[in-house]
Amino acid sequence: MSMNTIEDRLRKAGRDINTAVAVSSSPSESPVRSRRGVLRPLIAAAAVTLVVVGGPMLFLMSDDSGVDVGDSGVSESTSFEEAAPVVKEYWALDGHLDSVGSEEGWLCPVRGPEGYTSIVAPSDVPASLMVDLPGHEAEEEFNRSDGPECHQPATMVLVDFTDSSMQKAESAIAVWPSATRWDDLCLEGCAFSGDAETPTINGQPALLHTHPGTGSIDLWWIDSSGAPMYAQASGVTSEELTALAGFMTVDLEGHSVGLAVLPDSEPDPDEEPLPEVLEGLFDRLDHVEITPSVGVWDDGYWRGAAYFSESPGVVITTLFDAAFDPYAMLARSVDHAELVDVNGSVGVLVSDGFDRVTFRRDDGAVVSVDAEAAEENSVDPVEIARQLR
Amino acid sequence: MTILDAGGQVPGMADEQPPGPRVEGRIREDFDVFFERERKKMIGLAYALSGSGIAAEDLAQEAFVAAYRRWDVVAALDQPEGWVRKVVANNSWSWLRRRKAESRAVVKAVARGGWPTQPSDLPSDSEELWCEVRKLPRRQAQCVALYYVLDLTMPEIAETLGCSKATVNTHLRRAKETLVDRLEPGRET
Repeated sequence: MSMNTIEDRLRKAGRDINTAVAVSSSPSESPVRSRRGVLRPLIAAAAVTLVVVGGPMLFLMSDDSGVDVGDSGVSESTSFEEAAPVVKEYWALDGHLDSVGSEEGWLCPVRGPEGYTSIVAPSDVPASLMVDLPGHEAEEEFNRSDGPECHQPATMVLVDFTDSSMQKAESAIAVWPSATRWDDLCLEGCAFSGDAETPTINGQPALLHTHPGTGSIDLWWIDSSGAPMYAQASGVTSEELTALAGFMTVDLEGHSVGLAVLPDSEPDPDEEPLPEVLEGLFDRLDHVEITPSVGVWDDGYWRGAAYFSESPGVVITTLFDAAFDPYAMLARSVDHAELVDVNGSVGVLVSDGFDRVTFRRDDGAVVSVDAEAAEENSVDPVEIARQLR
Repeated sequence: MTILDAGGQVPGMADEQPPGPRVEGRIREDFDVFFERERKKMIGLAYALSGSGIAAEDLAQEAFVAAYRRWDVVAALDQPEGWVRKVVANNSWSWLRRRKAESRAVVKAVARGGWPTQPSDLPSDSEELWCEVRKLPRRQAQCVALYYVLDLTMPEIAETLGCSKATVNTHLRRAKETLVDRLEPGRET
């Protein structure tokens, strides 16, 4: 193939695109459905963890088979009877539940950021795990909540601890209210064995589990505001991860914060170091109530500080490549971080020896303005950011 | 996500009417006219960079919604379509990046027989070519799409991407060299 040939093929391919667009005059399917189409596989991607903080809390995880148990093909219009076989199929495949029915489990439509997500609680989950709705009250409530008109309760916790050793910890689904009683969640309701530990983070009980073989670590804890937190990491020790969680909690001053870890990510030298899941959340930052929090993000390749608002939203900045030790960064910490207004969009001002503002420009590009540029222009980096936007 | 109806109006945005038509002494193009004129071009650009017809429409719509919300500013630009092109190019690449994670999950799902693949609307030879284009570095892929789909000149591409004409030329040359290597290795370029 010569350059002329490739030139010809490119020109033909360009014409084909325009032809395809020209003949496709009908509108696409619902963009909402499209977005769900993006969300579902993202969640299904192995070991992807999505943490949304603030407001209604949706906590979705996947197991190694890639089944997104938090959205098992059940839509908001699906009745319990219709949904049960679907959910049963998953649980049966996973070997955790032989049957699902109104008397054996509870199906609960829960409002999350993307709409409703149906989850099921196997009947052998201790009643104490049904936060705020123990025993018969929970069953009655869940049996009623089989349609989109049910916006509550979102106060349900499902954790698959059936093997008592948390070998399948990644199969857990949890949907919490903002004030989960942690003691009910795990410390009283379940017996842990094997590699599970119960460290203390800032005086609050936590749960830490190391996966045999992979070495990846799960950590659940409650931050100082009472918000349930989860982190998953690999390549670190349990002590480091616990220290990380403690750092985050200490810096929170009562505000919600999350840590997203994407160990399944792959580095791409041509890519901007912006993790796809967090980038999606970036879009939600417009017009949120600005309440600064700080956390740390690490996907095994790219590492950096993550800054969260109390309303659902995440923004990240201060990214480092794998050569940089994020824990060294934690040690020296970030002096100051706040969300700033950049002409109506949300930017992040980080001060860790120098100032940097990161924000999404109107044209979709993520831009960082650092103190060096500000010094050259003799103005505040926030002001430069506003000009760039 | 906002949906544009057939007439180019944005439902729920009745209170966000752009200001009057005259900007700095020239007649500013009405958004509806602009939308009708540019819509398919932008979908084509997004299609080339995303590889999905559904996503392309979403991406183009988002870019037009962004333009609509800032229409008083965008319309005053010499080339409002250039601004929208830039948004489409940026957001298409962001979408593609997210798609990579999605693809890994889809591979697993397809292996279980549970995930239908989306048929392409393009002839297979063109689809193969665009698949290879999307594997190129971001700027190279954007240059190829802007050049061969929108038929832009190099100065126009340079303005869209915020780089020099020489850089655009380099990106296009390297892109074609890579495509030749990948599509028919062993042949001289």
